[in-house]
Amino acid sequence: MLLDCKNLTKRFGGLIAVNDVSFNVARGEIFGLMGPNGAGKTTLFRLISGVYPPSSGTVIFNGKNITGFKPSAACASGVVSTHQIVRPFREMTVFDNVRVGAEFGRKDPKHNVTEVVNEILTFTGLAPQTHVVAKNLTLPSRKRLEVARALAANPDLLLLDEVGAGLNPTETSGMMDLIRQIRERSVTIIMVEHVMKAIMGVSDRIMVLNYGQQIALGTPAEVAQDPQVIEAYLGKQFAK
Amino acid sequence: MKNRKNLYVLGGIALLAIIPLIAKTIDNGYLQTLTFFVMMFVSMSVAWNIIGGYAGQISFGHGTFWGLGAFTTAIFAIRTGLPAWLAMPIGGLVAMLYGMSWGYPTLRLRGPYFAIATIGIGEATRLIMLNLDQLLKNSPLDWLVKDKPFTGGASGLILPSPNDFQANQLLLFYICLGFMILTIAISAWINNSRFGLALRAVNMDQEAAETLGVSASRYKVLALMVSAFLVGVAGSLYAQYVLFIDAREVFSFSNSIAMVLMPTVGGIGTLWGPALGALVFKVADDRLSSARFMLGGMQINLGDVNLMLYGLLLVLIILFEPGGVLGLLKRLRKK
Repeated sequence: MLLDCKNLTKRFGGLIAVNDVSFNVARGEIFGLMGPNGAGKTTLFRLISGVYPPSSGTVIFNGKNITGFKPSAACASGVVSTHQIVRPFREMTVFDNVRVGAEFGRKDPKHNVTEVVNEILTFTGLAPQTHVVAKNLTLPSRKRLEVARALAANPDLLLLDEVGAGLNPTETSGMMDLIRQIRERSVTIIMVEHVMKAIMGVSDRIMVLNYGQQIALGTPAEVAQDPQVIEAYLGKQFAK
Repeated sequence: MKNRKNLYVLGGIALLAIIPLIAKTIDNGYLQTLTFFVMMFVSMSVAWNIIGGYAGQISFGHGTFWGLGAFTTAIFAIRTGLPAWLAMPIGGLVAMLYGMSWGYPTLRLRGPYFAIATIGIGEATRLIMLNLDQLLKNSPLDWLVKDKPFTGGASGLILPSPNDFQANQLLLFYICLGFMILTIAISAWINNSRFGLALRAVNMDQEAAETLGVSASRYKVLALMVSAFLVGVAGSLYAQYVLFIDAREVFSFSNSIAMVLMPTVGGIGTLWGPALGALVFKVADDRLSSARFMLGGMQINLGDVNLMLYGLLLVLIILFEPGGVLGLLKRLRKK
């Protein structure tokens, strides 16, 4: 197992955002994370990537306990996340944005930083915009930049938080192709996505959260049939 | 393009270098003193910009570094009898260690909270330095104040006079010129380095930078230490030039404000903006302090209201030209 989360819980005051969630992700897997708004998906991401320390529970990554690691330390261990709302370094060029990941992420001693950046810009289709200042990019390009930057940090596990949100169907399918290609680079992926067709089509397994609790875990087909999932999304009358 | 820029820089250095030679003939040496102070303020402004501009951590506490550099130098010169300029690196080092000591806890704060904390540190430092001799009396460190004052409190410290006052001023002028060049070179190096990339990333989005592996607090503290060292050396130069310092003056809040104002006026976060801002600020300050006019039978000294004018200037810049003078020049050139 690449990632093993045990009994993860996060409380904010009286609110339990993530409640006793356990799951594991195998190397090379694309693992989908679904749930209605406020289900705790982003919080769960933040527990793994170290933005929040969990209230209880453990995160084992690559056999190492990384629970409560700061984001920069989690990144050094090989866990990198993207942000739900894209957060490019606005005044920097696309090249420099990606260079941050390449300089400060896990260094690959075989390649120099410029090589890594250029390769990733080509891979993500951002090469024509190399010298564009990030604030001038269109939304689809910003989404790609978010992924490119994270990839430059050379992760084993990439957490993608709604990289398809706000994209039109063509752009979304382009993004899903990119995600499949990332897996070919032997990067394991956990993704949160609201676009059903996208997440069902690309994930090997899916976990569904509702009110911070895990209500289903299985292949896309199993999850889609699960009465609890249908109830959470559509209401009781549709769940037979 | 690159060559032309280098030519400008070299020309500027040459021009500054000949100022002491011509200053005597045009205004009895006043130009030399003014240029010394402009160069000192350029160094301070450029140094502040490393933490305040590149890393975006607005510090109102840089006056403490300047004051500590000045006091370290005065105390060193008075107590050892050695030439005061030897204390320049020591003054920088003391300022740097002081910066590290309060940088660690305060740089965890974000945005305005950091700025507010630095105001408190600046004020506390001034009061402590002003009353230090009183505090030391009858303490285990009593020996420090037994035969002579340590910080001198409100009456200040007088540095030993150099044998040849004129030659000393001239020497300090060239040391200051060299120091200013060094400061700008350090700032330029940081701007193009991996270190500078980390600072700019933290400035634009700290959380995103951290998820990409940038250890934000480490780089911020480092930037503050470099900045503090350089401002401390500038304070040391000041003490040697004026030969009299007191805590109320060198730790005054207006010095800290000046270090925020100059880079903001010139173009915060850029390499040349803070230098330009310091030039504009110091020359305007010099002209304003002697300007006066009559208004409704009342004589108004602009020197009395200059802080108000700076406040107004700051508001106008933030509203209309956040890029400062440098941003304005760039925009005019595009047209």
